[in-house]
Amino acid sequence: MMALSIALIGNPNTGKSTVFNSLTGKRQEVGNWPGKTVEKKTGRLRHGKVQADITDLPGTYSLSAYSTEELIARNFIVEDKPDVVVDIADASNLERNLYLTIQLLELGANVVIALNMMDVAKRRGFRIDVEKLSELLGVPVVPVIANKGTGMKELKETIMKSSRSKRQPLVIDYGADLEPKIKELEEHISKHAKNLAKKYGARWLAVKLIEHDSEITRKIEKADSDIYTEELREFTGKIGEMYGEDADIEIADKRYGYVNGIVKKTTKRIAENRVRRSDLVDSFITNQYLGIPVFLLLMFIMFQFVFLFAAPFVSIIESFIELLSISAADYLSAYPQWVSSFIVSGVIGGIGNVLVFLPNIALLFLAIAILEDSGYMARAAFIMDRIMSKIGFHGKAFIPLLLGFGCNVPAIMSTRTLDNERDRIAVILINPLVPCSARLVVFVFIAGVFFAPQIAGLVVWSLILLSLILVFALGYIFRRFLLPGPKSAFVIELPPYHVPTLKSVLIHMWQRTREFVFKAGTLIFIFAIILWFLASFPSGAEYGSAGSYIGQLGRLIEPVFAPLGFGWTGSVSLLFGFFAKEIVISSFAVLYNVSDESTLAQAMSLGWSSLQAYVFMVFVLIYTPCIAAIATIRQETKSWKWTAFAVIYAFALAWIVSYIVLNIGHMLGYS
Amino acid sequence: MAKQKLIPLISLKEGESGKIVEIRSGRGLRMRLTEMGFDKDSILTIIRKPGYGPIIVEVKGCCRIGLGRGEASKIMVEAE
Repeated sequence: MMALSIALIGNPNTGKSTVFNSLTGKRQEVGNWPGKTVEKKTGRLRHGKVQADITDLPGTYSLSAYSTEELIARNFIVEDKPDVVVDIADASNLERNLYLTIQLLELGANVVIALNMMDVAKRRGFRIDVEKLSELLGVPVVPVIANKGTGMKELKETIMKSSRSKRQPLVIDYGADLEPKIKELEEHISKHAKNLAKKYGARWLAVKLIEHDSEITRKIEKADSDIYTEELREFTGKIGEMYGEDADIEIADKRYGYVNGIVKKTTKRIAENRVRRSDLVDSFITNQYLGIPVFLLLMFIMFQFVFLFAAPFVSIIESFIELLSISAADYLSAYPQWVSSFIVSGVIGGIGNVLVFLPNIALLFLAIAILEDSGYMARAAFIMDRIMSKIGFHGKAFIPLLLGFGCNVPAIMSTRTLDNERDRIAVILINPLVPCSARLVVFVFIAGVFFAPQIAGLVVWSLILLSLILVFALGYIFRRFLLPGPKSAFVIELPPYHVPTLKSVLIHMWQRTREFVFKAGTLIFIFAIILWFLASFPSGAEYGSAGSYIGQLGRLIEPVFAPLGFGWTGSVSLLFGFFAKEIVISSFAVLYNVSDESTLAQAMSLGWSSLQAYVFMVFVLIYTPCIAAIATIRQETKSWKWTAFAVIYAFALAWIVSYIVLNIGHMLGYS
Repeated sequence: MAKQKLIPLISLKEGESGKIVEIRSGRGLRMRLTEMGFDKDSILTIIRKPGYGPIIVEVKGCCRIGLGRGEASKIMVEAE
């Protein structure tokens, strides 16, 4: 038997993902919509003997063509023709939610409404006549409280029961001025673009043309190229004259008028509860003086939580990898040396390098999920908008930058929340400039070797300050010259605060982490094998030594670093640092042929002056973070061009800034 | 009927309300706001208006929207 196809749709913050989780349980898959960075979630529902594939459409307020999310949702409903479209509507905010609902009805979708947050609506004094609402809209309406699981059984049954219904598109009266025009267009479309009319409905297309819908206009132009161009353009031109640019607003107002009529007939407000807990919380959290301190405090707690809880897992994974390496080496001792090296240093080392990131990354994803689900993330964007708008960004762009201090990988993945593509690419490009925890470890170690304990902290702090300056300067430059375009408008919904459910944040964490392991992890692993090859061959060369390919490569690029005074060892360790920043230190140990940290410190301090060490740290701060970040940049930009740019600009910037710092140091009398 | 004076939303004080008359912005922003509930005749109330940066507005007596000052000065309202 064929599985039913069900789509979930709804405004953002209506509890859509909670409904999705409760319908599908653990049977979920996350991916992207083809060619888009918008997340696509699908899952499976089993109800009795019936199976259903559920697709979670992006949260959207409308079905126009103004955003990618809206287009994805609309195209899915039109092209995939799901058997049922479940519209999750917020009962406490009925008017705006029904605005989307009636657009679904105009499209002729087989809608079932899940009227969510009935408890919140009740608390706010709304009484909704559910039966009447269902009667007026002509579709089933099921009241639910998704986060408590109330009404979910009824929802499933209603979905199954109505899966075979066919519905005629809803016809809204757009008024005496527009209706004749719509009729005329409709006839024209039925005659000249038959296939489109069959697929979308001629009236719907006519309305979309009047709304200046860019995608539909293009489709119709393509379908009847000769006739449209003259006749139709003239026609829509006339409508344009009548309403100026406002034909779309006129249509939107008519839709709201229709919705209003339904809301008036079905909803009573018996008490007006103006003081809300969320507003009280907001008077602290978005306060002009307290907002930023509260934000910084929360972020501090978040990072403490992440690092504290990740540490034991990291050491467990490290010991496990070590144990695995030792026993593998033992087991493989009978084989040629390169086989054992390939398995131990290449494969196990490569996998280890993906795994060792995992606790930090997973916990950061957990923290992000909690901040998002609680409603705080929108407030953080609100607070930071003032600062971010100075360099041309939306307030939301601050979060990915801040997360970079933990790890650039989840930080780059979190840029998906940015609606403006230019903002998103620019934030991805500057994100690696934020020093992640792995780089901070390198700084703490080197600063500890070369500087007195009293000033070592200051040295590390100066590097963080430098990174902040570069982030803002490069952000401004990229957004202004490389990705120029108007600053995206700051309009953001601030959902009521609520305590996130454990299930939902865990699912979120699990999906993101899994995505990292499978997508970025594969690339990291391939890079790791390449690096192993370079460090182990030609045969006979000691691993990572001067004779190996990487050693030869180090010699080759040494002249590039000569003006910075890094020498051969520095150059090679920077090559290794390309792989993962914490390796910079251990590669020094290999190169100096020492095994413990104190002898390494001694060896290093003989080779370099403190100025050279500082310049080296500046370079490590700025140049390409690690292959995990590169793999993630590739995954999120879907472009090798941007990925290559990110690597090359960071390298060039690192060189230039290091050179400047070196010369300032010379001028100040250091050598 | 005396016609009320049109003022930009940003000139309202915290706690004051206004009825939307028009949105004087580009099409993109105007449609986006309309879709989020800023349609004609909707009532807006200023919930928070800090000394600087974006403001918080109540739309249709229910949801809270954060709005940049630039955006808020393009929304023309009649004070209630």
